[in-house]
Order: sequence, then C-alpha cells, then structure tokens
Amino acid sequence: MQKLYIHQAVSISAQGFWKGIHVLGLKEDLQEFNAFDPDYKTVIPVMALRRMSKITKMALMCGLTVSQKPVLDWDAIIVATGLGNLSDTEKFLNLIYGSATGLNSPTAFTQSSHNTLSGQIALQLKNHAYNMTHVQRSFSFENALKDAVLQSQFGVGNILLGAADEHIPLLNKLAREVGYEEREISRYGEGASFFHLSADIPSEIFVKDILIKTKAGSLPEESDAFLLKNRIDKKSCLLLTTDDLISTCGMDQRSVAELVGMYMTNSGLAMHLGCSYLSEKAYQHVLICANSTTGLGLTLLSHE
Amino acid sequence: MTKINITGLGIVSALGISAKHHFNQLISGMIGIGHYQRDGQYYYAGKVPFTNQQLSELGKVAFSVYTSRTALLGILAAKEALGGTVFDSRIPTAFINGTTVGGMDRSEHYFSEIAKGNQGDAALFQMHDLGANSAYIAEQVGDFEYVDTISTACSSSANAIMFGAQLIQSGEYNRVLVGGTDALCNFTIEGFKSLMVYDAHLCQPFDANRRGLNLGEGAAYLLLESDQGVKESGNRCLAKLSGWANRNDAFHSTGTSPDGIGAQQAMRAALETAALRPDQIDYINAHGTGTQNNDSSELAAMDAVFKESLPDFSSTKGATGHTLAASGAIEAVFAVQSLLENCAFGNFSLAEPMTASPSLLRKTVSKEVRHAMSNSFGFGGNSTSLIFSGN
Repeated sequence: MQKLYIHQAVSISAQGFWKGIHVLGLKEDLQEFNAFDPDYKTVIPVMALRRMSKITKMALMCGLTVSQKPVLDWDAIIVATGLGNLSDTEKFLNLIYGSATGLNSPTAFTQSSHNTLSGQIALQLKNHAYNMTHVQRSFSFENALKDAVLQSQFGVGNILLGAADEHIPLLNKLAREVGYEEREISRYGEGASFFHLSADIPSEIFVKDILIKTKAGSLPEESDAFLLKNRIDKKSCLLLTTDDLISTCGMDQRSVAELVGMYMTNSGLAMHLGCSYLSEKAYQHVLICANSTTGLGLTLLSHE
Repeated sequence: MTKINITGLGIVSALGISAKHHFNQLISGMIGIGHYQRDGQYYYAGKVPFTNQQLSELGKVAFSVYTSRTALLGILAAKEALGGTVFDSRIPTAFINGTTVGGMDRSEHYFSEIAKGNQGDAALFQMHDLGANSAYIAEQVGDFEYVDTISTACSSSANAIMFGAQLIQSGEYNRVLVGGTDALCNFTIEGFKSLMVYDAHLCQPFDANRRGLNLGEGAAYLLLESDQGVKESGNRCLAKLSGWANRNDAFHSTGTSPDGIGAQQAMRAALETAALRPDQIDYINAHGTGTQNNDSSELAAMDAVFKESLPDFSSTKGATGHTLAASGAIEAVFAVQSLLENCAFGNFSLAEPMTASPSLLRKTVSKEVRHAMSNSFGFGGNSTSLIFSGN
C-alpha cells in the first residue's frame, strides 16, 4: 500500500490529555483506568458540552484539537467505536423501562447513535465531507484505519481518523454476573485518540501496512508472515499489544492495556504511542497487534 | 474503472421474504405496515410476520433466547443473496454489514426484567455490541475472511454497500456481501416517539399532510462481485452499482437542513462517480420517511440537483415502514428490481401530494429504467446516495 502519513495525534486516556507526537511520561502503575477529564470547555462550546456523555466529550476534545492547528477542512472524517454511547443508551433504556410515564426526553436517544461522534465533529466544524463510523469489536479502529487507507487511494486528501469508547459501571456488573474474573474487570478502561492522516503531504511517520482477518491462523504465524511481507527485521521493530503481552514474539514489546486499560478501541492509543516511540527513533517500526478470539488486526507503522 | 457487478439479492421485511415476493407486493400496492398494541397503546409498525423461533427455523439455525432478532433477520436475507455461491479460498470474501440496534431487543429484555424487580440474565447482552451481530450472521452463512460493521444510523447499509464497492474497486476483494439489518425494538419506537415524529396513523411520505414515520424492521443484502469474481462464481450479473457518495449535512444532530445541502452534495457526487448527467436518472427511490423535515428537505435537494429534469421518484417506506439501518439495502434491492423489471414504483398512501410535480408517482409505472438512484439519510447529518445501472 502507499504510505499514509501521520501528522498529528491527540488522545485522552487514564494517562491524561496527550496532545502531539512527543514522548509522554507514562504512569506505569495505574490500577484504575477511568480516562482523565481535561478542561473540555477550552475546545467544546459550553452550550453543547452540557448534555454530552463522556465518550462524546472525549471524541470532540481530541477531534477538534487535531482540527485546530493548522485549521483544516477535512476531506473525510472516519471514526471507530466498539460499544458506542453506552451511558446515553443506558439512560434511555432506564427512561423507557422506568416508572415515569408520559413523554421521554429525546436527548439520550438521539445521542445514543453510534455515529454521534463523527456527526458531532462534522456539525461543530460545519464539515460536509465523507463521514463514516466503523463498529467491529476489538478491530473497530483497524477497520476505520482501513477505510482511511482506502479513501486516500481514491484521492481523498486530509483525513481525520479517530476512535473512542467509554466505560460505564453497568459493564462491571454485567461482567460479574456472567462470571468474568475480577482481574479482567479491573482492567476495563476508556479513552479516545484522533489523528490527522494524509497520503499527499509527507511527514516522518506513516502507516505502512494494515491487515484485518476475522479468521486468522496462530498469532506468531500471522505476524511473522506480515513482517516478512513488509521485509521488517524484528530487531528494529517494537510490538504493541492491545491485551496481554505475547509469550514468544522475538521483539521488544509493551502492553497498551497495562497503560490505559482494556477497551475495544485501545489500538487507537497504541497508534499514538507507536508514533511517539518512532519520533524518538528508538525503533524503525512499530507493529500494533489487536488479537482476540474473534480475529486479528495488525498495523505496521514506520518512520522515514 | 472496475465494474461492480450485483449478482445476488436477498430481502426480508414486513412485506415478506425474498426479492421476487417483494416485487410482486410492491407492484400490487401491498402495505406491510400493520396495527399493533402494546401496554394498552396502539401503534403502526412494519413487523416481519414471524417469531424469533420461526425465523430461526426459516434460517436453519438453532433457536436461542440469546440470539438477536436483528441477526435472525440478517441470516435469512444473507442466505438468499448468496444463493448457491460457493465459498472458495481462491476468492476471499468480505462481509460489510450495517446495523444500529444490533441486539437491543435482548438488552431490553434484561432491563424490563430488572424494572419488574426480577433477576436479569446478563448473558442477554452478549449480542448488544453491533459487531457481534455481524460476526454471528457471517458464521452462519459463509466463510468470510473479513467482517466489518458500519453504523451511521439510517444510512448504515447504504454506506456498507458503498464501502463494499470500494473494496472491490481498490482490487482488495473480488467478492463482498453488503447490506444491513435492524429489528424493531422498544428503544427505537420510544425514541422516535420522544422526537415527536412517530406517526400515530399509517405514515404518508411526501404527502402535504404527513405527520411522521412508522418504524419497520427487516434486512437486505446484495452480493457484489468484480468481473474476476463473476468468472469464478459463474453467477449471473443482475445489474451494476455505478455510483456512490457519502456527504454530511452538518446542520443539526437529527434534523436536515431546509435545502438538504448534504443530500444535494451526495447526489451530485454519486452522479460524478457514475459519470452520469442528472437527466440520465430514470427513477429515484427516495429516503422519504414521512416526517415534515425529511421529505421537504429531500424534495428541495432533488429539485436543486435535477432542476427541470426531476425523474420519477417515490418512497417505498409507506409499505415497509422505516427499517433504519436496513432501509438503504432494502431500497437498493428495490432500485435493482426497477432496472430488472423496467418499472418505477409508486409511492404509498398519498392523499394530497406535497408537490404538484408529476414526478412523484402515485402508482407503479412501466417504463425503461436504465439508471436508478437510491437515497439514504441519517442522524448526524449522514447523507448517502447510490446509483444502480442496467447491464
């Protein structure tokens, strides 16, 4: 594939509000993974802010910050979310199954739509371009990135790509009821990451390749074949996993889940982290591996 | 440019099951929307006339209380679209699915039990996430290398069709199953009621006295193949997908702008992709939900794009109800049928048309249809236009 350059990255996670591709001082010993709340009103209009759920606030804060400097009229806005606007969904379900009768307020319903994030960004920026939302479990972000690659192939210039997921307490309750382990539940996190991508304007760091498979072979086999295809020497490559570390991979590796917790689009944060490792030239390449029982996503980042 | 061949159609809605059956229902002016009662209140909706148990039997899958109705509807339509297509590792196949409610019907069951003071079964949430529904359908109907879900409200499946076309155009896949599915649920019925756009009577899209929409449910899929894919599968090419575009209205989170800016831009860009002039479109299957806002802004947008050459157009939502994420694919199937059968479908339940233009069809007319457009607009300003062309 042609290089898709990464120009800017902004994230919100348990690590804090992270603006830019510079290296972040990482907190290594977090026990809880609720995302940090930055001063949203510096970027989001106060009137709009009042009714927004956390996922929308995080996505807008990141998306609008990426759009600020330089001010860009995006040629495409592509967003990923694994579970969408959970708190608004829960709120509206409680309204319709609650004891109160009569007319319900539509706010939670309208905001519960999965494309609220991409739609709100377009609305705030008065942007009329291609606007898409991908939702596919642990590979939602990879699918949105794949869309960005596809659009750039068809000549789309400046692309705003992002991902966001929020945590609500109900998730823990449901997970306990179906018998998930406490270790698993304690790792639930949330966050948002947004990027400016473009195939036309070169920069130091770029997406080199992406692979998404619903039916994949064993992880070492698939990742070795992927690296071989791209002629990557494992010694020059850092592996970022979205879940636990991988036992034998022959590469230096880090678990993003240990830093920001588990959420379906934490590979967005992995891409931001990968950019920062590449910017300090510690590695030539970064391989992001999203691996689950439902498939495999591999993203390869490189610097010039 | 790579041709996007349509080699399979599958559909289920309140009008019944199968593409052929839907065509017969539409030309005979059949309305699938019925009158139902819940909690002492009456409402109109386009329900698929089968229980989940019956849908499981029809789709040949084991019945489970944990399987969403959205997935069951999807399986039926997907199987019909695939027909006898054999999955072969030489032609990896992708599945792009549009849905907005996913397993909401199951999640609601949990909430309603809790509200009654009962113990809820948390396992009912296993299909709440939209991707789980696409993955389940994929598992049941074929051997897909790649599965993705697009969720952009009421334009979800239209966007899935567009994304599938682009996967073929880029050369990445030679065969993609595209479309969408959504079941009726209390969440969306109550949602549109809370917005005060749910018509308490039978909906009347494009009528001067329209009061709102009736929701429906259903699923539809199209099998898209490159020429290479057709060569391998031996499937007959029914029609081509020739144009597509997605634009944003960027006006309001749920409403559309008075001039339908997003719709105008989507239609113009789709015409550009298809390399067609506006006067070459023979029929438009409009989004036409029956709300004051949508129908007036869509008509304004069509007038702006087509000017004096506004082609015959109609909304078929008066027959199916608004099937949300499935509507784009359901109406894409109708657009393909207008090409195959050379007809333009009539609008439903028109009493006093909102426009004097003869282009708004009261009844189905026989005519040569070479190019048909289908529009889908959703919350978040999402506006998609697709163009289908005869062989």
